[in-house]
Amino acid sequence: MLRERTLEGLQGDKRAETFELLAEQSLDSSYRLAALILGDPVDAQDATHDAFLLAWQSWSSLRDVERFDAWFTRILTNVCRDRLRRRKRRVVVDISGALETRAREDASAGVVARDAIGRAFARLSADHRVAVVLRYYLDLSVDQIAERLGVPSGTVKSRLHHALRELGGELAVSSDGRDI
Amino acid sequence: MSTATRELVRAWLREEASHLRTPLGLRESVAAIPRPAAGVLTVAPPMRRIAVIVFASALLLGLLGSAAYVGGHPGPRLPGVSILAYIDSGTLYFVDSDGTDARWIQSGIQSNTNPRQLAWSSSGAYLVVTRDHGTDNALVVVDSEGMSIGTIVVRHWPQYSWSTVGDEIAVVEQGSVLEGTSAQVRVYTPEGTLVRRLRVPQEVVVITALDWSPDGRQIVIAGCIACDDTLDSERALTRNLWLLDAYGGRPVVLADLAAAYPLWPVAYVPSGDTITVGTLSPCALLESEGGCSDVWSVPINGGEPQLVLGNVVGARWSPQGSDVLITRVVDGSLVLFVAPSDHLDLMHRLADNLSPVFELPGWSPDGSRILYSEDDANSPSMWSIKPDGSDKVRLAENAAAAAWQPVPR
Repeated sequence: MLRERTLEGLQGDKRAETFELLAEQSLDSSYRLAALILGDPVDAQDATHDAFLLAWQSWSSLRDVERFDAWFTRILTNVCRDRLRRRKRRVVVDISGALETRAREDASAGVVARDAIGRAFARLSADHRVAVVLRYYLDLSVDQIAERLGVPSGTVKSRLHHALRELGGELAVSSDGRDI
Repeated sequence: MSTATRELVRAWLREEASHLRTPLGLRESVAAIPRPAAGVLTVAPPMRRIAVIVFASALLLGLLGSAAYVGGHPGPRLPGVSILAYIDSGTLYFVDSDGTDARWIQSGIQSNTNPRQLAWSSSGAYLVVTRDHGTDNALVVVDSEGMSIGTIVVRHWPQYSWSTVGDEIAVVEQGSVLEGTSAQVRVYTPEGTLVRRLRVPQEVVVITALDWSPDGRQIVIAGCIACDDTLDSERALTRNLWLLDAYGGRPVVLADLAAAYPLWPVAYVPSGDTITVGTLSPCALLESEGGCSDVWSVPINGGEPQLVLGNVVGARWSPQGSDVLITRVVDGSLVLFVAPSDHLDLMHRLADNLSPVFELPGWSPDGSRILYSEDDANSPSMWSIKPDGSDKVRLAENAAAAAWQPVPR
């Protein structure tokens, strides 16, 4: 139904209705994407709102409703990157001692590893965070990520390589830098 | 990279995502976005953010069960607010033209290397800036959200002009006397796709400025025959104005100003029947009373060029053509004047102590405001002001160049 009214939804009287429909359909996934990138649910709420506001303001630049997801992901990740870059550096509290204790008590290597990933992820740069979330949460290919970010595929590969190396380093996992 | 790390990252992201629930307030505020008429802007007021924090805190404290979201919806923003793009220390920023919501766009922008450092397309949908690209230059096109959408690589001294009737950009590839090549003008889409090449007289080696006519049919170029590509020759070279057909037809010579130094800038006056062009004289900025440029008016029907302003730094006609901004050196500092275009002798002093590093002052798209930079204790500040000198608004600090988006978002 949506595809049939592509042109009308982009240019005609139905554009507000089309926007509302697409926004509703993508709101949950967009909020989760923003929250993962930003690591802060309140910040993610504002970022998601701002991204939809930008999308509506530039609605005329969307040429195909079927491309909405890719088009909007690009807007959202750009808003998130902007927020991360403006955010003041947070104080990183060293909780490695607590983690070791917890590890002994929990005896679950998986829990420790996930905690370590969370801490390492929070230290990644904005670009690296975005690349990791798009690759390993949305399961986008390198080329798809490059298209959404407007950067060359090689840049995406490089960002993923360095991000995973940092994350792997936190887990003391050796890295050979291939097969990302 | 080990598979184990990738799988751990993937599992961690999915587990984190599984705990996330879209806040009710976000659903309501997003649903409210398209209700204002298109083109009328909205902004998230502090109340919404405060309400979000209260809501989130209350949830954490267990104070809210199924309580309704009480935050306000985005309120109206002033209509007519558009984006000012500006460069500060090689970084591109956007700020709303009322001076609010400054935002970082991208770094690595060239500044003080090109007479025209950034420019919006006539639709206001795209902005072009110049970056280094190895030993070459790249014109990077960003959209109004600041996202890069296209790159056009240019060997050296990039010159460009947006079409006045569509989102096409004419870009100069300079020629070289040493290599025996002529200058070229190519037309691209904002995404960087070559659309067509324009016919340029073979004898033109360097194009120092160009401007697209108001009707979109022609492009005026200020060119130089047998110039070397460093542009610093003091030889008496032939410098002409030509009119190129924007769709590939035959070019015609418009005028020969026989200037020893580059013709720059060149611009159509809004009526489209006249071109203004500056001729530079060899003098140091701020040391020559008035300025080192003369501004000539050249009718496109082939009439004789007329000197309209002598000894100025620069002049810029308002979008309606009724007024002219004139920058002059007075007692060793830059002073901004405004004058009616039919009485350029009736100059009204508008601002003193302009920043010499700032691109020439400019007009807002509707001609209601003027953009300029003042040197304030060695820290240039960008201001907007009405042509009568009232309603002065500080917009940003340390801006080296700026461009006002033509239409409201």
